[in-house]
Amino acid sequence: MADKMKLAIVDLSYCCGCDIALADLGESLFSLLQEVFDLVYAPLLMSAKDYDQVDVALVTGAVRTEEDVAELKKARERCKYLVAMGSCAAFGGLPGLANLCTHEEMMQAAYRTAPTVKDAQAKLPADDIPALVDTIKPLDAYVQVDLALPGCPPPPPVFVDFVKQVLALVQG
Amino acid sequence: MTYWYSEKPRLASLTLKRPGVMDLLIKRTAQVSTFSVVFHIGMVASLITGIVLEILYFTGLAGLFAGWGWTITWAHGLFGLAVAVGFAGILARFAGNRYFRLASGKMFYVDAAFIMVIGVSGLVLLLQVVGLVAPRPGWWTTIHLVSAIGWLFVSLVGNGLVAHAVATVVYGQSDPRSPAAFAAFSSACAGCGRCVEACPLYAGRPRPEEAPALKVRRYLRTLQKGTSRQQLKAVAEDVYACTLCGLCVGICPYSFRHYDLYMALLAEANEAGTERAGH
Repeated sequence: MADKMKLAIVDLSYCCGCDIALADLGESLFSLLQEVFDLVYAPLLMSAKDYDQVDVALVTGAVRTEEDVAELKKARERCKYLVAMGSCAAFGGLPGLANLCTHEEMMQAAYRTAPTVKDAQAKLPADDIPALVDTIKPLDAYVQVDLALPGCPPPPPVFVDFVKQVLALVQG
Repeated sequence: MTYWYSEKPRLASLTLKRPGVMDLLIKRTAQVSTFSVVFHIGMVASLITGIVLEILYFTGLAGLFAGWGWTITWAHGLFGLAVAVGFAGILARFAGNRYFRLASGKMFYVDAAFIMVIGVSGLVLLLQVVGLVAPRPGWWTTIHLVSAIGWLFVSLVGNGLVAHAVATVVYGQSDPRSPAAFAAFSSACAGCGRCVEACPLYAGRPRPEEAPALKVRRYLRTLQKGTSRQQLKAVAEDVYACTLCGLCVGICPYSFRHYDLYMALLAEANEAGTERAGH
């Protein structure tokens, strides 16, 4: 059997849905782990704190903050193939809807006027948090993106097909 | 575990990058059906040979081929047969796949009627050429020629298959995220129906709906006519019943960026005073 590829899942601003879709593979995830990839970094699914050079980085989530930009650039440096996984990474996804309003309107809606807000007078978070980027753009606006896997989240069978094809690509 | 899709969605590519015209014609069309590839190759080749035949006939240059002119006639006939075989497969898919029917729209019937008239008259002419039917120049040639030219015109103006071919080339030249690309795609869309098949929202709708490209075409037409803001709002809202999951972009043989189009429509509708999605 040929070598498996080293896979890291890098999360930016997101809802965890893409990771959950991976867990939704059920038992077939085990056969993927045996035959297709070694999962070396996936904050939601395992306790690795950092990752080194990998073959493939599956980047999920949108670039919403400056911290996301730094994470994305780090992933680009450390992988051979960068995959924009899920709608947020590939296109902007649901966070992209925020482009339709200003930052102030967005913060007002989230912390003041949304029906689920309990204390509309509470202090807005401001200290020690990364700054927001102006607009939501897909990952390819920041770094070179090699492959993309759309879906919100990508349906598990599509994910399986995709990683198998990527393995063939990595093995050349 | 059961999912919303009837067939497992298959990605058109690993990159979401837009394919070139030749890639579209052969590889991407093959993802939809082999009959479709046969149809496309037959159609392009028989159009070219047909035009050559007409030029030779009307200019009287046939003599230049020194007795080999018949090869073009035969080639035209054989490519025509490929069109017939391919189109039979497409009709079978049309009958058996409701997503294809949803995505094709009513113009498909007009195109099909024209292609059948062209096909039947072409078959009679082919039988005459190979000698199975006594050659009788006149009506069949006229029917074949007039219906072919008529189809080219009607289908181009009526946003049918000919417009799909022309718009595909135009779409290939435009910036994929520009309004010009969105407008070109609304005509270029081949109506294969794979986006409708993969869409989680279409499956959840109480009644069958048209494919995105047809809705966008309706939106653009409404916009062109200069309608009331209220009407525009209704059409726009109808178009953007979407969760922005983007699976359709990966499925689409054109790798058309439906996501960007929906966002552009949202922004436009937002300016026109429509409520934002999710509010």
